[in-house]
Amino acid sequence: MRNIFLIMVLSVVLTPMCFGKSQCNQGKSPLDDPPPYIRQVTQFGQRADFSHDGKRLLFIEKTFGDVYEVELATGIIRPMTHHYYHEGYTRALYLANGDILLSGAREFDAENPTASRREENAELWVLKKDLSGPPVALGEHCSEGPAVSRKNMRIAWTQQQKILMADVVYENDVPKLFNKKTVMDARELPFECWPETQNFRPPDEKEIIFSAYGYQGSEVMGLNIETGEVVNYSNAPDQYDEPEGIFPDGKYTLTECNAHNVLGVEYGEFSGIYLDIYKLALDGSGKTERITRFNDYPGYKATNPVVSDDGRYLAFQYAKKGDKAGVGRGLLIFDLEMYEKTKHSAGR
Amino acid sequence: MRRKLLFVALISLSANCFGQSQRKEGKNPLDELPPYIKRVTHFGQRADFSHDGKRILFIEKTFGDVYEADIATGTVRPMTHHYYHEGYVRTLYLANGDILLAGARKFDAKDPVPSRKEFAELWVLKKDLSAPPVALGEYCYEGPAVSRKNMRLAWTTGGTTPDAAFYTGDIVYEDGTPKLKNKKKILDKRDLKDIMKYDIETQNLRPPDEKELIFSAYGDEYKACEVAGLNIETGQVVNYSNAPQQYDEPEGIFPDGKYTLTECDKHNLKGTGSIDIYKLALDGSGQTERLTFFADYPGYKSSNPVVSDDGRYMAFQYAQKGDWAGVGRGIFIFDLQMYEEMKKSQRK
Repeated sequence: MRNIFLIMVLSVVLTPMCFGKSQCNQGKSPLDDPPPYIRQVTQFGQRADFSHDGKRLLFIEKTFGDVYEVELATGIIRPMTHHYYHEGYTRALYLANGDILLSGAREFDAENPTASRREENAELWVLKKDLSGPPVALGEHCSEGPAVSRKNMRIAWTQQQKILMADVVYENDVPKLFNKKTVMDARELPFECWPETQNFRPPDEKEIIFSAYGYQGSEVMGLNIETGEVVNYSNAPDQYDEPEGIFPDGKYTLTECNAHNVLGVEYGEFSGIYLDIYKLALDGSGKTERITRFNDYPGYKATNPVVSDDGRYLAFQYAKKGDKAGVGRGLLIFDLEMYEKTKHSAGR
Repeated sequence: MRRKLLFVALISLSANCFGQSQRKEGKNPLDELPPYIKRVTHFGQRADFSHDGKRILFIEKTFGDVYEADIATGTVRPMTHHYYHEGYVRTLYLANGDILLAGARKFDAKDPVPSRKEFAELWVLKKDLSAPPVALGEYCYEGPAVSRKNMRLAWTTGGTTPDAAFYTGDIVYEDGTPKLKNKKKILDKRDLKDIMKYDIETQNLRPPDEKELIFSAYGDEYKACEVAGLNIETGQVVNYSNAPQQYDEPEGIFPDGKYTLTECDKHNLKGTGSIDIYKLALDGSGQTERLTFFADYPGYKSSNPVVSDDGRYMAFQYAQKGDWAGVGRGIFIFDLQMYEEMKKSQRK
């Protein structure tokens, strides 16, 4: 009798300890009770980019959709690409002068949508900030996301495993690419990977941070534009680490990472089920800090974070299990200052 | 002295002769909204009230996604992001809360018009958004008319063609799959007499008994339009606006069926580029009342109004001169009760 009683007591005490966070949050949504430093801004949208003054977010409504801008103070959502007919976009980023760099295909077929995201079809365009006309094609195809300088009109993008770089210039007010050059060919690296440009590393922007897909899962790497040297910053072989937004001092990058659940890596058919947002030191130490805990809620993940130019805020999106990479179901703002204060007071 | 009198008279005449448009030159109606008009979104068109009046369904743009706005909070949610499609031109709540869509299977940004005028099909999207919509197997020219009480709908085929026609049908669910039943031709354009018929379009099943279909009878090049009613049982057609020099297009109908809202240019006879919203009595008197004054601001117009099921609110959109018919740049709510109260107190 005594033994049975003891087992019952132990069961009651141990059950909540043994099962992880995921079990505790079964059936719950991370949006129901977010921490005070996280605020939902929109109920749709993905791939946020901060305006240079930090007051607005540019985003695409969906993969192959229109581009919108949300004003953070009021929540007002305005369309940026409703004034002409198009076939949808996969990326939208502010250029240093406030114009908008778009990536999108000239054709879209709902029965074969993926083709419009592929490098053979997705092209780079510049849309003027006054929305006075349709965007102008730059004459370059782009594999997934381009990297855009926050300080000058330089951009970098990926094409056939190469990283290319050029400056957007305006001739008779028409945007064009100038000084185009190949800065890296992944086929010449001592390891196999499929690169994707992510950011020019501030403050001097002499390095391009890129994702090295297919190498040890995915790694965060840096390419020294001048010397061609490549550094593996994440160096975590059994883990998924994809660089996203970078901090303005260039000391850290945000990543999509599954360090909390490495068993979830699904090489090849990676669907990013177990992702959350981490901060990775770009000093070679591989030091990381988990920033979001959406993945503690089964079926949810947090992705595609970017940092405001003053380093105070982070914008990101949430998605659900099964959503394709990059898909977002709404944008959220993360107050990094409040987060640090909360962390410190919790530490006390 | 005579000179001075003449000067005063001229000043006085100028103020009276120049219309509202002159006084509003360079101004924006959105900056001077009356208290009974509230802006809900900064994009979108073709609003439809949910049956409880709490939400508005709309398309983001012609050939775009469908969204729903919560009127109390302003929150905007996507309804058609969970599958790939080529965009929609109409969206309306069915009586059971499911959504009737009109949209083509293909969209070509270089030649968009056929996706609206020729190849738009009817689809039913379940309200739980559990799957893509199901095609009803019917083409639909411009807007369908949907009962607010049962699963009946009416639609147009042909429109501008000589053999254009109106049909009615009932949506039934067989094993959970929506289908059209009881399809019946209720009007052949060739049988229409004594009314302009360059183009015809279904608008509403007239409440409360829904035995009459209110439709638009457009004149050549859409320079004029009449509000007409078709008795579905007898086939008798009534011209309710009876103002052949004027543009009167029926839009939302009041729940008692005594009035319809119209897009009308009675104030300037300048056509669809300068329309505003009017209320037209459906008693044959042709009596109208102008409700909005957006067209007093050069370059602006208001359009596509609908009425909530309790008759208290109207939702509509604004657009700019040159925008294609149906294009909207944001959705507004008009409090009809507050408007009537203000009108009464002004009279006192």
